[in-house]
Amino acid sequence: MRRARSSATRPRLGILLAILLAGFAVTGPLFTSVGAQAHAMPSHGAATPAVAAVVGATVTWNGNNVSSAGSPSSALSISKGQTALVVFTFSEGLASYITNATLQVTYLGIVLTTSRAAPHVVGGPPVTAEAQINWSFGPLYDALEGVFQFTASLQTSSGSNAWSESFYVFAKAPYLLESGAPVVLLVLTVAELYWGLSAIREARKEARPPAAGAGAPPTGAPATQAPSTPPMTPDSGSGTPPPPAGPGGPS
Amino acid sequence: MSAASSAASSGAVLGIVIVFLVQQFGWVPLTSIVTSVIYFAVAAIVGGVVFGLAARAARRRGAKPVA
Repeated sequence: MRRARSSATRPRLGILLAILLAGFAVTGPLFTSVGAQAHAMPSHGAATPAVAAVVGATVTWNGNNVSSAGSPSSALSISKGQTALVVFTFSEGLASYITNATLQVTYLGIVLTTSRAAPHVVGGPPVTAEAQINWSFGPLYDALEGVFQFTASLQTSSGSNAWSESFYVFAKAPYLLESGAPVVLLVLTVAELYWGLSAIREARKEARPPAAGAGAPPTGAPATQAPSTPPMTPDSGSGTPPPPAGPGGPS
Repeated sequence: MSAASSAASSGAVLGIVIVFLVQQFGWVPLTSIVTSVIYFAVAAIVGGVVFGLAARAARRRGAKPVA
């Protein structure tokens, strides 16, 4: 009975997972970029070393250089409602060459969104060119959190990358449970543990032999023999005895 | 569906869910699709094998005659 219920809930669990994945895919474009145009666009790959050396750009996330967040363990952080100011700074002489500064968010190999900003020359000294993007998670923060990979890149007018750098950002919630996805995932974890342990207990039960005296006799028990009937004996009182031939008979 | 295979499938799904959960808590990034698929596959296989073997062991123990 329990096994039947367990297998019946399996499709429901698959549907839950599918909804979760679809939620990620659908709400992905909801990533908002305040003050910057957000468009999904394909990634162009890394810049060639020669061009990257010429550009020599630096990117800061709320004043912190993103080159220090090249691994998930050293990820920068952002909280709910917070907006991060991402500043691209590069040589002023390349301002006419670089037409776009972009910030891409990647999840499961998919570029969720791209935020763009046009660079402008900033008075010095030293005179440099910079582009600013105000970036926030927006409504997506209510759905999920975690570590995401960001790719900051500078693009030429032809659309090719002149420079790019990847870094990690950890979208944090106060108790790591403020967003919906961790709660759903925790419930799923507990449910799967319960179903798995129930199946293990069921496996033990289904192998256990039934108790003696309940139901059919166990296999291998000696078959009971039918009581043997005694051989039939002639009934002595049923027949009439032959008359004895005596000497005192009629003469 | 036997109880052992049911336990194995529960373990496999549990592994995948745990990978998602770990990403949400910031311990593992699911950035590249290849890396993510490797994480999911390893977690599903480990979970399925562990729960499947546990169910088999429980079945063997249950089949042992009581003295």
